[in-house]
Amino acid sequence: MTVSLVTVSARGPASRGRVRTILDDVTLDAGEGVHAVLGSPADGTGLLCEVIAGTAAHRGTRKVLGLAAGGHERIAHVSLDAPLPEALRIDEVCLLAADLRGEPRVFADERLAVLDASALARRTVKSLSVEERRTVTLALALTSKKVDLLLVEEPLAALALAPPAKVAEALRARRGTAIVTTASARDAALVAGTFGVLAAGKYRALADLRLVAPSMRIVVRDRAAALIAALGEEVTRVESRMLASGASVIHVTGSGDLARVVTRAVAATDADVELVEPVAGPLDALRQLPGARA
Amino acid sequence: MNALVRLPLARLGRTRRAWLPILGWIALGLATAVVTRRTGFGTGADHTLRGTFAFVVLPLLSFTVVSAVLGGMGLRPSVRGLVALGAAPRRAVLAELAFAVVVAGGLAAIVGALVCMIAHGPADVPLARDLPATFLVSFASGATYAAFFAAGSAIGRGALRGFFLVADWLLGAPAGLLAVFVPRGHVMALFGGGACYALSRTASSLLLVVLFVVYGALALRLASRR
Repeated sequence: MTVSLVTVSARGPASRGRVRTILDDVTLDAGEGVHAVLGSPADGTGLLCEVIAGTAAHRGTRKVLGLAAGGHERIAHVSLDAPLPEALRIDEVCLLAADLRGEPRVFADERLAVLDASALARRTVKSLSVEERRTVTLALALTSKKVDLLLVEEPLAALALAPPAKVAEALRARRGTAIVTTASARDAALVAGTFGVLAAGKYRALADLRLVAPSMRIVVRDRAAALIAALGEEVTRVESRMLASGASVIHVTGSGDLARVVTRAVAATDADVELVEPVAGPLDALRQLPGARA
Repeated sequence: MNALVRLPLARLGRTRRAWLPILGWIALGLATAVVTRRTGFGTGADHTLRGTFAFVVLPLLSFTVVSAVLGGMGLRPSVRGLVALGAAPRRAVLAELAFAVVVAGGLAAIVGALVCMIAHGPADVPLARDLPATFLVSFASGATYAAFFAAGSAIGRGALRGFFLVADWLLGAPAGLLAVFVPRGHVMALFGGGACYALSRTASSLLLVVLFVVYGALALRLASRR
């Protein structure tokens, strides 16, 4: 396992006017692939990332990349405020990041292009918004050859320039381990393969995607009727409505592997599909799921 | 380490708000030396170094250097940008601390030596002896003040840096016992002022080094604490 936390507890800093975040006996394992932790910062998602990154104090056993401490050059953390060296330009930040991680220097434009952010290369850090800083930090992490563990808070929100679909694709295509924390079950379903819920500092692993996204939405331009017919018995409910553009929106709910069923049906019918996406439930519903195991 | 000092270097060189006050304190030290020379003091160097330089310029120069190197933040928040790029927090803190100490000590030493040369009077210790001594004492004093203010910057979000400056002024009166724990009493004693808590100058110079080590270690410990 790339990340192994066993009964880890931690306390966030006490900020005036804010509730102190805590982690309470968190046991979490994450291997290769993208793992989503559903929860809000008040639940302790930011603190969890800091503990995994090795920048927050904790009790319990933490083993990351096979090490109990250190290995900072192999870990990238894209936090909500994404601090960057404020006195430098972005191209200088890119060179500094390469030097700190001990990897070859690459032009900033090339590294930022992964998230369509090359235009930021000549800007100063001070002139960037938080969203732009997050985009730069994520682009540097995604293009690093040394980063084996990527921690991203709210991977599809508060990012500038890069469309969410591109970010999700880049995260899924990346080798190594990524842990994303988000309050959006939809974002988690789009990005991750395994899931867990962090509620008020307590972590529970979720069995699979169906708990997070129990239904799927398909926008189909042509042959909607054939697609509905082909969706098969694993689909327990199909709702369809016609859009003004002539396309149909089909909601499917089922107990089996919906993604596989939908893919098969689309392939079999040769339907002209515009969009297939998981439809996730609200976070509060996930916190109460009976299928969530401690 | 080389990469880690790029940020404090850029903070110092590119931020006008950082280097203007530094130039201001240097100018004050040199202007006082020029005025003293024109006044024709017999012991001009002794008078200026013990007065304006040690009392005002040295602590405030070190304070502004530390503030500039840390970008006006606390020691721990000031390295977050480096840690986000893959730096180990402890090494990043150590790099900024070392940079602040070297710059504050170096500037203090250069300004101290210039003040000594400009204000030197006929009744002062011969310049050949006075200049290296002033250089060394100024360097040690500037470095100790930098470590002292860095320790203040490592507590909380860094607001205690200013508190440490005030505490140094309030507690550093040479006769008081508490003066032993802050740089001012020892610095004033080494520049020819009254003895710090009746200690010899040798003891004061040793204690200045001890304070440098203790406050430096404290800053490193507090800022790298997870």
